[in-house]
Amino acid sequence: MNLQLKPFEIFSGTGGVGKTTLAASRAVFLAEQGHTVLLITIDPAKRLKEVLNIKDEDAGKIVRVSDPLQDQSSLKLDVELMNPEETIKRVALQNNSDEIVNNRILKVLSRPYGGLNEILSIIELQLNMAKNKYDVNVLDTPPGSHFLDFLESVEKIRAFFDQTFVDIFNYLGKKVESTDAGRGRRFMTKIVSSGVKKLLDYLSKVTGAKFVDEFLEAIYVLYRSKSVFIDALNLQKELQDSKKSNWFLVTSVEQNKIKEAMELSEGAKALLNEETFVILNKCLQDQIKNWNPAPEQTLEMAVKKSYIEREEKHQQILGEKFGNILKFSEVLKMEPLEHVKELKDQWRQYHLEIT
Amino acid sequence: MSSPKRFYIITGKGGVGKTAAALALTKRLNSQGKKARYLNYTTSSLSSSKSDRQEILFAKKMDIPHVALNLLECSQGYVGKKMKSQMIAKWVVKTPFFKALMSMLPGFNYLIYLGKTLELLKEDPELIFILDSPSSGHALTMLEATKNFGEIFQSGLLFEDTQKMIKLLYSENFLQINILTLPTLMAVNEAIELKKSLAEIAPSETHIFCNNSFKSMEGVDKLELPPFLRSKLETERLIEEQFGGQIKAFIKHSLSNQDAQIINDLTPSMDNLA
Repeated sequence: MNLQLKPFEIFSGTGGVGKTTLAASRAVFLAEQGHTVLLITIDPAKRLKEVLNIKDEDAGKIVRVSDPLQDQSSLKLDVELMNPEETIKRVALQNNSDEIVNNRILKVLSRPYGGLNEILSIIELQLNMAKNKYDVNVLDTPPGSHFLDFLESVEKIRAFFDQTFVDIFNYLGKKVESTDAGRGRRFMTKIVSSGVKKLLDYLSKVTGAKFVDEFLEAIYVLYRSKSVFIDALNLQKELQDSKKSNWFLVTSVEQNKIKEAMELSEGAKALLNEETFVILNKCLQDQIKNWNPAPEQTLEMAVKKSYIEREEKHQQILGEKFGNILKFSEVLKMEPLEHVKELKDQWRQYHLEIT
Repeated sequence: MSSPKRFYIITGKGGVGKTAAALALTKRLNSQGKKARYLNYTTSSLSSSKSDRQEILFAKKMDIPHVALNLLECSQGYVGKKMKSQMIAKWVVKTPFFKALMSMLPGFNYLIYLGKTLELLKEDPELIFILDSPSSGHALTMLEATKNFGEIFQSGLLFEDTQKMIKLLYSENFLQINILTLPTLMAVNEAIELKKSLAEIAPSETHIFCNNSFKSMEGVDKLELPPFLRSKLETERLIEEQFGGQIKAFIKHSLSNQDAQIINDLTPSMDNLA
């Protein structure tokens, strides 16, 4: 198997399979081959910072990591830990207006754990893509179903920025004077028929009128940045194009999670491109092969059997479903950086042109 | 064992065995005559027609008492209560704008789920929930939601509800958060960081447990192990040396590759988690 170089490489999978470390090793590998690489993590757990020694306060910025492997090489890698607050600032910059940053409600929601992570990730990726600065953008995604949330963000954005809603909230937000009575009436009809008017009345009952005003303001401000959000929908096309992106579905021998991985690939089918690579991580086959306990060592035999069975089961089931399995051996080292180093070298086997 | 809490949140990094531990703990508490229920928030979307998740189907298969909450039903129930009309609620949750807004607010979805959970716990004083929670970062989104939306609403009925939730959640002997981790440096660091972030939201009883512990297997000291397993064991010992004080207990590794057997293997050691 020979992997082609593409502008996007996306690592997805259930939790704990080694996505982050593999993505980091991949980015380092590509950088070593002389490509300009941006490594982004949109996983709120942000394990990358530990692996590459990035400070918390640098979250949301593109950080140039010199000598990522700490071996005095001249290697350089750009890394970004996604931070929703910083993305909102970037949206404001695009729009030449601070209102989105200063809105009280949006401020709370764009906290690191405010919940807007997945949706704003799409925006962040799009803004990076538009700059077209890197040969390869390597993405580390949140685990399991949150990865689907991330992919579904595109649909969520599309639904939320529906033109009808935008028109309504533009109208309500501007609090248009009723000088243009005809236009006002047309809009009132639209507002009533969309149900928004009634919804706002109900909302006012449980939150008070003051909050409804603030809420209107927040939505209005968000809709004024509509173009930035809608642009992000283009990203989906890029990611679906197998000429532009490599998808890696990461699984691990260590876990009995084949079913979940399959579900994930099923769930993401409509959004991914057809050429997904499956990674089977933490393989121990080579080590196990060379271990031959005597038959009377029953516990040893049980341990060996357990490991062999686990690995064979994964290979068999994944092999039936996906043609291409990339195997990576388990790294038996303590430090995360050591893992990146060893896995980086393991990528070589999938690049035939490199000797 | 002291009398159990009312609400256990099982969280931690992805792949640490949250589901298995939550199911095993539920099983254990039930075997001790408690009315414990495995809990899973099934969908993260109002329009999702997804049926029961794998985990719930599995709980059914294993005959472990469980409750599956669904976002659409919970939202409709909540709106209905606030509006004092189920008809209005039915209409509200179906409007495109409400749906679009909800899908943009995962934090609010969690708030609805938590609200329903607490309501059920209040209704039945015997009931104990074991929540198979989303992984680390998303567990923070869930628990921060009570605070964040309290701040957003500032006053009114919804604000009062967030305050009631906070009061109950953090009342004495009510909540225990169990963070599961694995015997690797990265996983343990993430668990410790999560514990710190949880403490910043509100003081709660939070413990870290290290799952998949190879060294806790019976007879492991007498085993003649190949180098790769010796190095696994060595890493684990280093972790215990360095972080032992912060890990409440090690849960032994199961040699089985069958989910049901893994849960049965885990069940006896679950008293640690309650």
